[in-house]
Amino acid sequence: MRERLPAVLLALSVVALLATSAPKGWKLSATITTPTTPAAPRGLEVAIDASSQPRLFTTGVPKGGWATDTPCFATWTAGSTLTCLLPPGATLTDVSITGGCGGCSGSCPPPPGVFARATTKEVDVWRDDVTSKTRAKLPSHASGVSGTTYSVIVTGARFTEVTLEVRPAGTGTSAYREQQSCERCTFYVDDSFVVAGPDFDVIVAATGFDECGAASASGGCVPPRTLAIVSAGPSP
Amino acid sequence: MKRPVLGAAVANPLAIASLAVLAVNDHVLKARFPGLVTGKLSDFAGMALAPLVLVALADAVVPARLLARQAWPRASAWACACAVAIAFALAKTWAPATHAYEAAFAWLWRGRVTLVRDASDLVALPMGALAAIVATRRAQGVTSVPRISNVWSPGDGAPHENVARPSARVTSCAGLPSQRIE
Repeated sequence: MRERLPAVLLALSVVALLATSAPKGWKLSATITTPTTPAAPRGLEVAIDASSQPRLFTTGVPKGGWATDTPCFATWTAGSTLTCLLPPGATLTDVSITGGCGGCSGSCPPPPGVFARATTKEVDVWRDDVTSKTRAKLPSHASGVSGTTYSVIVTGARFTEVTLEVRPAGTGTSAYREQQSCERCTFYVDDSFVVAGPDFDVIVAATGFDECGAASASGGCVPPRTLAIVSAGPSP
Repeated sequence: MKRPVLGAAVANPLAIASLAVLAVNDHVLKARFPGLVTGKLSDFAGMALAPLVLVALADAVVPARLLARQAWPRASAWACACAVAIAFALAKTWAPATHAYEAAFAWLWRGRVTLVRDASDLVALPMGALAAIVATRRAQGVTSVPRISNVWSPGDGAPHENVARPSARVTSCAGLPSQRIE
């Protein structure tokens, strides 16, 4: 047994190092009313009552990066209903809340008292598009990192899809392109996508969606032109 | 050259203590006492344990001709410590590395894993150096046992302060004198 102790310790060490990041928690999925997919060109409004910050999961909506969930641009506060808007084409697949558990037990049920409910309804939405184009030298970052981080802030709509595209100046060829659903967006343009030296056109395109006013005709309305790209540029 | 016993590099007090801290802190303390101390404790323990695990794995797989080199224990210990330190620093400070870490562990555990990106966690980096020192001394200590036994024998009284008793050497090697006998 003594001879095997180092091997046992090694095995335990490997497990401990891997398990240090193991998710130990519960998940409670909300009961969702229909519809979960709005009929085009309408959007889907999701009203959520939950005991903790809920997360939305959808298909048909750009997520970008490593994100797995879809952002709700409203802020959740305990005791109030969180209302989120999903754009035309989205399908709501899950609304859930999660929490952690201590201990080594594999069993981790949701504790008593937690809850999540989601009700949906189709709503008429307007759609608006804005674009900004800037000339930049890339890469543009401090030494020690291998890519340029672009920050984009968009306001004026309850749901926005933002696309950042990098093209060598004067060409229509895209060197980098990514789309996210976000208000405050971060795009990471790895140096491997750009060749140092020439100028680049950095094109930010935002598409916003928001609910039409009560007096709007069914099927959509004229956008109020509130959508704006507040800032777009490389982060220091 | 005889290959070290599998896991020899983690059979020492630093590794065992780190393993215990990781297990208790991650699975009990963090949930009961969330805060700065428990948040950092696993970083310290992980930074101490991970290089030793890497050394143990390297000892198990590298070609025998590398093991036979005199510089191997020190080189492998510091290389493993540096590799862990770099990976840890990147994951804690650089978003793409954090995301890669989260994606890897999410795949491993079939669930969402969140790594808190916090540059202050880099305070744990010196534990990597400690691990490298322990790994190096472990290897050197065991290989020097025969030499020490030639200059010290029971009943000699206190040995020279720079010459350890064999029993002390063996203890520092976690009681496994046969781990790396050349």
